[in-house]
Amino acid sequence: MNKTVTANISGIVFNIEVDAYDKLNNYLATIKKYLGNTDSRDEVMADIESRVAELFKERFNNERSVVTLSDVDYVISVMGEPEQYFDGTEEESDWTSDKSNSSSTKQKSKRIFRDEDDKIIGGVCSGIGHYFGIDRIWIRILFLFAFFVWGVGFIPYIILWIVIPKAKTTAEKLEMKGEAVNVDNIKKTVEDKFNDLKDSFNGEGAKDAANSLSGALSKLFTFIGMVILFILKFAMKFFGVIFIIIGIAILIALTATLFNSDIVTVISNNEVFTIPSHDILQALIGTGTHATLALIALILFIGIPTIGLIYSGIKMIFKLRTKNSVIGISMGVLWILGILLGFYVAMNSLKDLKSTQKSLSTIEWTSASNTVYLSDLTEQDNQFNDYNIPNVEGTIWIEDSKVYFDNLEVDVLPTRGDKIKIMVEKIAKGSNRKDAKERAEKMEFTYKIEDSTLKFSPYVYFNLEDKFRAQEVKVHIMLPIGSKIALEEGSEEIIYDIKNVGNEYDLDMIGETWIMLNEGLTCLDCKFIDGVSSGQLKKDSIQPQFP
Amino acid sequence: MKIENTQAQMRKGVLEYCILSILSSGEAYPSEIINQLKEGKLIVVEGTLYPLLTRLKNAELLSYRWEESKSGPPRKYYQLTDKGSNFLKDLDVTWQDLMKAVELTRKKNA
Repeated sequence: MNKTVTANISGIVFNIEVDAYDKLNNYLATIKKYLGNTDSRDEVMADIESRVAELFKERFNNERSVVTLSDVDYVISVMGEPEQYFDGTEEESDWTSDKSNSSSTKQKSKRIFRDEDDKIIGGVCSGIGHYFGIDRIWIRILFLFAFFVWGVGFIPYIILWIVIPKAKTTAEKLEMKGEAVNVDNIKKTVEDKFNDLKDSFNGEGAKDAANSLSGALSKLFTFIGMVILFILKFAMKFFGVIFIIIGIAILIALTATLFNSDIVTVISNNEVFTIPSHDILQALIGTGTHATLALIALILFIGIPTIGLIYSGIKMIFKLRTKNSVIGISMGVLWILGILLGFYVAMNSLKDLKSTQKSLSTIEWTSASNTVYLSDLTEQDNQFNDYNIPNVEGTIWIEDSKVYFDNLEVDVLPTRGDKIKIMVEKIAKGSNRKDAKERAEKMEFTYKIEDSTLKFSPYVYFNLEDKFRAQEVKVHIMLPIGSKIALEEGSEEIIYDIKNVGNEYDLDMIGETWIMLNEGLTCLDCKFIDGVSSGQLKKDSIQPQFP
Repeated sequence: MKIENTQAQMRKGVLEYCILSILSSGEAYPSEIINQLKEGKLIVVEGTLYPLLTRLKNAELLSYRWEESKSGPPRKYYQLTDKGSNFLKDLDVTWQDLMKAVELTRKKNA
């Protein structure tokens, strides 16, 4: 007893035993494959099926109605094995290169797979080698280089490993090794298409002008489409490469930042790269759990989009259409987690800004004359070593666990007393009054007094563990009426918003001598600024009240 | 160089010529054509014919009409088109020339 199925062959219903049906089905499917993807395929298949039905009918002679395996074998023996349909290779190739269908059958696009038969780690390199038609050894050297030189080749490799499927079936292995995807081959395809187009304009079809014209037009449009597609494909790959390069550059910067590596300074000496260092993190957040959390937040916040960038670059280059929603969603969740972590750490650090406290002190100084000369201590190169201050530059600088911050401001105020006084205000923020006050007191700055000259460094400095909490120093030079101050060249680095009669800007005040009068600070003997002259002063007999 | 390729190449041209010759005496459906070709041992299996007929039809050398059949599905009856007749006439001349050429060459070198 055998199970049968009913099948409609060319409009006639047959009962076919299951195994016979399978064989016949297989047979027809194979022929179909041999015919390739041509327009006339369906027509030929219909003819063949019709003949199969006819043969069955003839054989039954109206006596029975079930097709058995032997019937199918008979049909195959009459019709021939699929390969006999084309009677030699010549015929077959003639079919597949049948002009109008050439592009659809020839263009078997190559796909990228990992070659697990020829692998060292995951077969990624040999897969890429197959894809571009390059010997895999070069790809391997490239990755090995990236592994060792920056350690950054690691992440792209892992992404490639995840994204590229491995070649499992024979068909996939063939696709993997197919014609290399390079500019030459893409160009060839376009050229073929163009020649095809030219033929259809000049070719034999001239007899049926209207027909050939419409055919040629449709080919023209196909060709234009091909060219656009070619440009798009090229642009896709180009941007893919750009994405990967940018991604890797960010990865390098990120790893260098995390491990405080020297690479940062090797790549660039500008501040963009030197600021986000380990020390800055400590200055802003401190050490311990919060610093670790901040680091994790930074890795997630920058690292995940970077990996995404590399990922999409890889997908663009290799035309991969993988959609791994699990990875995508978890990356997104991690990224948001990074943002939340960052917020948490930032909010915690903001607590340190709640209270602002000042610590007041005075610098005792008896001037030799009634004129103060103000200048910048760091302006003189040889002063660095004498005062243990590093050769700092920029707004913020960290060296030997000390933070140097360009935030010392000197201004000039009148005083009713008869002596020049120097008031120092150290200001800092903290989580409470005590915290802020302590931080303010710990802060230091450098100054030097030589006879009548006052020299300040524009930098305040404090220990790294005190953290960076808006520390600043305000130096007020208290001038009695009649006293003078000379703002020497270079002191523009330290003065800030000095009030004067003419409301001159700080920079305009440099290089001039100023006298404190009842109306305020006035320029003395200035050429370009309105003020008073020494002669005027004598006439008005305003004598300095200096002892 | 494979002998199969050369044989197939030779047979291909002859096969097309023979099909057109068979149809020159009137229309026929595939089985009839096959039977005649089988007699001459030009083809061994029927499958060969179907792609060939479709190709000749697409080249506008043949046309066909449907006819109901008692013993199965409707049949395609093929016939020569005008283009096909001219094509066949040309082939007849070519064939005569080839025969002469082959005969002459072989006689001389025998």
